[in-house]
Amino acid sequence: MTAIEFTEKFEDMGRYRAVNGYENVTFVTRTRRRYPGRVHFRDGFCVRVEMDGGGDWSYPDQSPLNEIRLLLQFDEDKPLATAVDHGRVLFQQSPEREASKKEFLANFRVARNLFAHPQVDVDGRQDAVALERMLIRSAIWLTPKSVEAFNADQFPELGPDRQFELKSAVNRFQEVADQVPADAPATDVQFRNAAEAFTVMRDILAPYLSIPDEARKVEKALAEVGKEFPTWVINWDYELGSDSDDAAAVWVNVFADNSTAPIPQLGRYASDWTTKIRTSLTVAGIDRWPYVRVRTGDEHKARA
Amino acid sequence: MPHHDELLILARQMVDRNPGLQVEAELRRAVSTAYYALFHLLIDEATDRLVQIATIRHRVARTFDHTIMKKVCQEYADATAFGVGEYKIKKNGQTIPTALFNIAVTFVALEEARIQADYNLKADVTRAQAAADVGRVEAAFKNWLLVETHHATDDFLSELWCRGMPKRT
Repeated sequence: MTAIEFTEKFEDMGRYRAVNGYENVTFVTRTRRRYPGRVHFRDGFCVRVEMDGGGDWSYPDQSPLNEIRLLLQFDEDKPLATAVDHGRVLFQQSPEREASKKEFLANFRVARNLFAHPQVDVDGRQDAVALERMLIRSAIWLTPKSVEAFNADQFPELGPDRQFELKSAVNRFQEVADQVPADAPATDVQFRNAAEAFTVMRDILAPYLSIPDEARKVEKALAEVGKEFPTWVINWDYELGSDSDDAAAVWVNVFADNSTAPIPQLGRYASDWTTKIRTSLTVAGIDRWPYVRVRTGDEHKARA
Repeated sequence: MPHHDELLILARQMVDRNPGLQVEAELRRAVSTAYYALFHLLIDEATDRLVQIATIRHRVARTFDHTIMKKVCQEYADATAFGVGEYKIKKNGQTIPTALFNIAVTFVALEEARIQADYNLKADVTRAQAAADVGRVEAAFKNWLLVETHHATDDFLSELWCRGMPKRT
C-alpha cells in the first residue's frame, strides 16, 4: 500500500471510510527504526494503536484516541506524519504536497546556523584528525531535512547559471545526506563532499538569509556561553521570536551527543545555561528571555 | 503522598518508558505533568502558610494564576549574582538564596515548555527535551528542601498569590 492509498481510506474530516476494522501499518521511530503494527477503528474513529513488540495505546472503554502523533512508512515513500485527534486520522502533510520556497529557506537557515556553530572545543590541543572527527560528530546539518522542499524552479531570479549551480550543489548534498544514517556519523569522505556542496549552497543563498543586527548580537552573546559548553554538546542553534505571553524571547536549541550526554543531568545543565545566557544577553544589551531546549543530534537528524 | 510528588513521579515514568519508540504524545504529557508538579508544590506551600483555615485552602488554591506566577518568577530569575550563594532582585534589592533563584528559573522555563507541549504541535518534543524538562523540575524539588524554611521563601510565595490582586489606591 502506498501513502496515497492509505490516506484515501479516510474522509476529509479524518473518519475511516470502512467504519469498522483495522489497517496494517509500519511505524517509524525518530531513529528511523521500523515496527509493524495495526491501527484499529470503530464507528469510523481510531480506538487503538498497536505496535508489535512495543506499546499498545487504547482507552479502557475503547473510546476514540486523542493527541497521538505517528510516523507511518509505506513502501519507499517518505514517512507520513499522522495525528489522531479525537479518533479522527489527520495527515500533517499531503504526500504529493508542493515544495515551497519559504519552507526550504527555513530549513536551510537552521542548517546554515548549525554549519556555523560546531562545538569542536576546545583546549587547542587537538590534532587535525581529532578535530575532523569532532567536526563530523557535530555535523547534524548533514541530513536531508536541510534541503527539504527545495525546488530549483522557484529561484529564477538567480539566472540560469547560478540556478543550475545551486541545483547541482543541492543534488550532491542530498545524495550524501541520503546515505548517512540518522543514528550514526558520516564518514570522512561523506563529510567533505557534503561540506563542499553545502558551502556552495550557503554562498548562493546568502542574500536570502540575511542576519538582522539584533540576531548578530544574540549570536555573539550565545557564542560566549557556548565556549563553556561541555564536550558532549555538539552544536547549537537559536531562533528569535516571542513566548506565549508575546514577550520577546530567544529559543536556544542545544544539541547533545547521543552516546555521551548525561541524560539524567540535562535538566541541571539546561537551568545553568538559561542563567548564563540571560546574563550574556543582558551584557550585550538584549532584552529577550532565553528558553533552552535540549535535544540530541540524532533526534535532530531524524526529524521527519 | 502529596499530589505534586505523585505528578513528578508520573512525569518521570512517562519519559522513561518506551525509550527509543516515538510516542510524542506521552513526552508532551510528561513535560506538562512536570510543570504541574512544580505549580502545585508552590501553591500547596503557599496556601499552607497563608491560609489558616485548612478547609478553604483548596478554594484559595484555585485563585493562583499561571501568568502572574510566571511574572513573579521572571523577576526572581532575573536577579543578579550577589556574593556566594545569593542573588539580588533588581527591582527591590532583596537578596534571595541560589536555590530559590533556581526554582524561579525552572518555573519560567517549564511554564513556557508546558504551553508549547500542550498547544504547539508544530514544534516537536523530543525525548531528550522531555527528560531535561522533567529533570529541571526534579532539581527544583530538591532545591525546595534547601529553602523551604528561608525567610525569603515566605515573601516569594506570598508574591505568587498577592501580585494578582488589585491594590487599594
